Amino acid sequence: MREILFGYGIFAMYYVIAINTIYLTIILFSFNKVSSILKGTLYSKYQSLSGSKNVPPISVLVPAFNEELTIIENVRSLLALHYPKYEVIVVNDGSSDKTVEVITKEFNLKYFAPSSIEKKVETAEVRGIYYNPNYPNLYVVDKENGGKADSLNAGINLSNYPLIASIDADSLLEKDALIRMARKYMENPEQNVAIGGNVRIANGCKIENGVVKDVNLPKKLLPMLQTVEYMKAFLGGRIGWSKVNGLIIVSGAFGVFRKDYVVEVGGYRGGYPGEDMNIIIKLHRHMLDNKLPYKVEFVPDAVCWTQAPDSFKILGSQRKRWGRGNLKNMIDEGRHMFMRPRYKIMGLLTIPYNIIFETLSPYFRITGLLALIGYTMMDMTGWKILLAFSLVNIAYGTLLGLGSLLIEEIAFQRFPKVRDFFKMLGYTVLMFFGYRQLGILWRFLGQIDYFRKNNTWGTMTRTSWNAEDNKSA
Amino acid sequence: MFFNLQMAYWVVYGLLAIMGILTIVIMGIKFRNARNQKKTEESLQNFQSYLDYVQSQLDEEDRLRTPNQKVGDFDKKVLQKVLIDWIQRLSGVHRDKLITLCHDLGLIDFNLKRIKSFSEFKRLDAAYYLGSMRSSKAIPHLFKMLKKNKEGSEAFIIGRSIAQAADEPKDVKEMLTYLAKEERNNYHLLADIAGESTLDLRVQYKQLLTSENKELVKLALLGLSNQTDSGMDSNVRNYVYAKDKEIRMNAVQLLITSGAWTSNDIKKMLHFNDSDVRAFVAQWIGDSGVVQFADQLREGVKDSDKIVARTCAKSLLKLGETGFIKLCDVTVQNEGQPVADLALECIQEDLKESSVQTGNIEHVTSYNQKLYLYQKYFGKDEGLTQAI
Amino acid sequence: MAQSQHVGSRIVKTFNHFLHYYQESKLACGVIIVRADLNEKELENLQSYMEQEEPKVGAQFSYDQSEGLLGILLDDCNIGYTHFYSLFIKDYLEQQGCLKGSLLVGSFPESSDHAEQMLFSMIWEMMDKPQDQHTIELFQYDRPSKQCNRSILLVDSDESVLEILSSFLRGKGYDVHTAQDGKEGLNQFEKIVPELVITEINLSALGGYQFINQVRDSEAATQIMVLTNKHLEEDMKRTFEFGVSEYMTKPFSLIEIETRMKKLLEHSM
Repeated sequence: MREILFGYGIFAMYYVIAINTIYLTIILFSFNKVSSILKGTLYSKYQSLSGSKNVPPISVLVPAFNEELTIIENVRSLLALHYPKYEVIVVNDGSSDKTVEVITKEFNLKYFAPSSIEKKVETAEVRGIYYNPNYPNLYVVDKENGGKADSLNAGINLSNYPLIASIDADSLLEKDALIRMARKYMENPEQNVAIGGNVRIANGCKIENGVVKDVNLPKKLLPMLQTVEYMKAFLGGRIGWSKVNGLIIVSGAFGVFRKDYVVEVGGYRGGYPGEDMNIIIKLHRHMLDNKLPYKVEFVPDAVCWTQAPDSFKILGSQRKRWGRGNLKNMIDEGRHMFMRPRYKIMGLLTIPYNIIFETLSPYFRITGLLALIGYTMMDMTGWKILLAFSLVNIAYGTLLGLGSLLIEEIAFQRFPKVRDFFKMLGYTVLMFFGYRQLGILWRFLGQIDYFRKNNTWGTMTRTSWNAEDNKSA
Repeated sequence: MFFNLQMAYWVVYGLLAIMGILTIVIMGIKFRNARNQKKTEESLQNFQSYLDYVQSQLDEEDRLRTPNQKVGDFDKKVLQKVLIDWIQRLSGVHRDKLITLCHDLGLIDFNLKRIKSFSEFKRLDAAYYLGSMRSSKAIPHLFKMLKKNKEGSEAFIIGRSIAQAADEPKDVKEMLTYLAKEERNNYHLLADIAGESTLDLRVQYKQLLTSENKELVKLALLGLSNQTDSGMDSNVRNYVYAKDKEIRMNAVQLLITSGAWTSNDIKKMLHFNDSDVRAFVAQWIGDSGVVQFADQLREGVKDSDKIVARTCAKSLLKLGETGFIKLCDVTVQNEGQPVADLALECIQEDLKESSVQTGNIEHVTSYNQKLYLYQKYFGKDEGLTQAI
Repeated sequence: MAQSQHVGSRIVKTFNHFLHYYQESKLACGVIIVRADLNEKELENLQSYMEQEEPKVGAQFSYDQSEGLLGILLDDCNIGYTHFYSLFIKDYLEQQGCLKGSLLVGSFPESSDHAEQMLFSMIWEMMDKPQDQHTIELFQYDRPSKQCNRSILLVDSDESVLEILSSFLRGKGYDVHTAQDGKEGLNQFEKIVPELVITEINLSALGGYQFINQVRDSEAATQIMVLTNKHLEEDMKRTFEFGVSEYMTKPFSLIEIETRMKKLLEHSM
């Protein structure tokens, strides 16, 4: 019995080391790419590009559910983006509050019947469109409740332009975020089917008139931990994954897509969270099935600020949703691509990594930890092994965090203070004492939710997705 | 399972050591940045009076004088950044004056030296500044750099510099041809880059029209559309029938905007067998408000393609009162048919839009006129009046 | 005038008949007034330093001990060169630790129609200046015919544009105010109600169109001019519908913008 427990515990340890080693490889790819990103951003003229005739127009889709308090400020700030030609499409997802009333009153919008909408993708019933020629690039779509994915689909149906940007109603775009994405897109419009932006945590920053004025680290514990976590996932992870064209997710908070391909893959999938990951997997699959050259890009200098949940309850429900969404995506899509050479990096690396090291990780980690604890309880002399296990784990993880901090320091320097660096480093270590474990537990609970609710999940339930999937770590 | 406690400790030590190194590197970068910033501030402080002089004497006839202080390499970097920021925002004599000043300050030679540096970053930095300073001396170096960089954003940055610095149109053409050889459909970006050049590129574009590379054809069509030139050759006319939709649309746009098409040509295009072209032409008529095509638009409302029909109706409404009446006629004459519904819907939408549009007195009178006409045709519509 | 006789009497006395001569014969001259603390030796050193650095210029120095002011008269120099010359003066005096305040630069006939009066005004202006700043300032126009007091508000998030344009327009005698985003622009607008607003369309906080809309709704007699990165025809069309009088794109020519401004302001008079 003891030997079995011990053996399994050690296996779990190697499992964690393997995750970290893959992550390290990805970070190395990130380093490789960061210098070219830096060159591109330093010497591009965003000022003149933001008024150029040659930049493609973008439809900015803003799904909104019960946002009456913040929607006006958000729309105002979206209308003030620096970009040549774009439209803002707010999609009200059958809010139970006065989201539509508030916004139509503020901008004096008039009701129009939705007859001109071309149904490229199926959606819940659209009640009407609101518009005012004084704000020619603002549309509000009012529709029955159908979830976030459904709202994005309704936005796609109304949109007039070939590119769409999906944006969370509660997040804030920097004024040149769109033009930075567009520059990347313009370099290779044929192949860049999706481009992700960088999501940063706004808690603690000074925000004035919809603009982040002073960048500060959050003061509270949970947002601070998420800041470090996001930085690691976005800078360390996504830059590298995009380098090998194996990016599996473009955050729902901020991404730009080619509309024609999104329509070709049937639009966003509703009913489950994780539609942001789902659309990317579908795009990968579609392009690879049809043998079309393509890229899913990531532009770390296009920044979207978001408010991170600061209570355990909200964070927990967000992470449970991610867990559920991730599982659903792997069952629906990932399964078909797993270890299939025709799906290249996606099939051979990204999907296996996600299934083995993300989706299944709660099982390995929790049982592994239990085994080691059980072993140690039986034989107190084993505490050293447990300690060594933890130390290797923490040191390796911290190293990866440091790698991301180095990328931040090389390319972006949003936190120039020495004190901020040590604070972030401290929280990188702190993450391993409780937060990590909690995250794994939440993911596990999310998967339980999936199995329990799977059959009874009706599409008619009102869904709230206020702090929905910004990313999955 | 293999497990060695001793080795685990060694691994931890190893990781800690790497972490230590990374921390030192990060602190080093922070320190370097802080020092650079301090040095920049000092240098700016030093040259503040001089820069003030440049700014306030920019409008004088005299050539701007170089500073009496010693300008070190670091100062040069600081000064060129400030001067380029100004140069990029200006055009005309003042910009030329600042460029001459860059020359007098020795900034061109400074960057010509740096463009041969071993550091990639320095080379790119120098290329960027040489482009902005319109230094034609840098062209051979820039081409050498361009051809070394096969992919990534760098190639476009260097391309931009070539467009700015070139004093021969053929250099711009060579750069564009090079950047387009992968056929990635990024001709919009190339057009933007070519737009940096102050040279007349018409001849070059016309040569590109016959290129094998579709990308270059699109670029040429787009580039020519920014220039007015009635002498469009038959190549462009043939491209209206091209397989590639973008070539087709660009050709149509060019033919319309350059004035190469007569009004008869345009009328014919509203019956062209490609619906994209029809929609495009209808849209253009509305946007440019050419009332003489009102009858053609009225027929277009009956188009079998829904998008074309709608575009025609919307464009009619942009033609003012004439268009409005014509659309009302369509509704009345085709009662009971889908065309009438579409037309009526567009009319009502237009009325609603006009009702909220704030603006000058013209808007108000035109709205009242339209409302009057509407009631004459359709009577007082309770629903609509309420909605308004 | 009577007041001016009292101050800087030494400088005035030394330069007066020269200025009178320049005035009469319509020849150009530059004047620099500096607050400095010098003894005779130091003054001589300064003079010989300048002769060495810029030997071609005929320069006269006059120092008034009691006022602590140094006057320099440059023969046949325009404002551009006089300004440049003052850079040497400032550098040298700063190195010697003799500079005690700012420098004021003017020239005849560019800065003033009246050479003697210009000197009085310059000295008078120097008396009021705080002594802790070591900056070079240009003597502003005192002619009523110039564009003084015509207030202009520049709104642009691009600092370089604000810098170049405000320096240029101030040099032309306009009263220039700046703002970096739409909200700030609106606040400034309500405070000063300028005669002309020059704005970008790409603005943060409050978008350019909303800003223009609010300015127009205020029903002030303000003219609006757009200076923007946006090269799209739609924008031009739309801004004109919004009541904007001029539309210019960047990069822009200072001469063109001034011409257009003049035309607008003449109309509004």
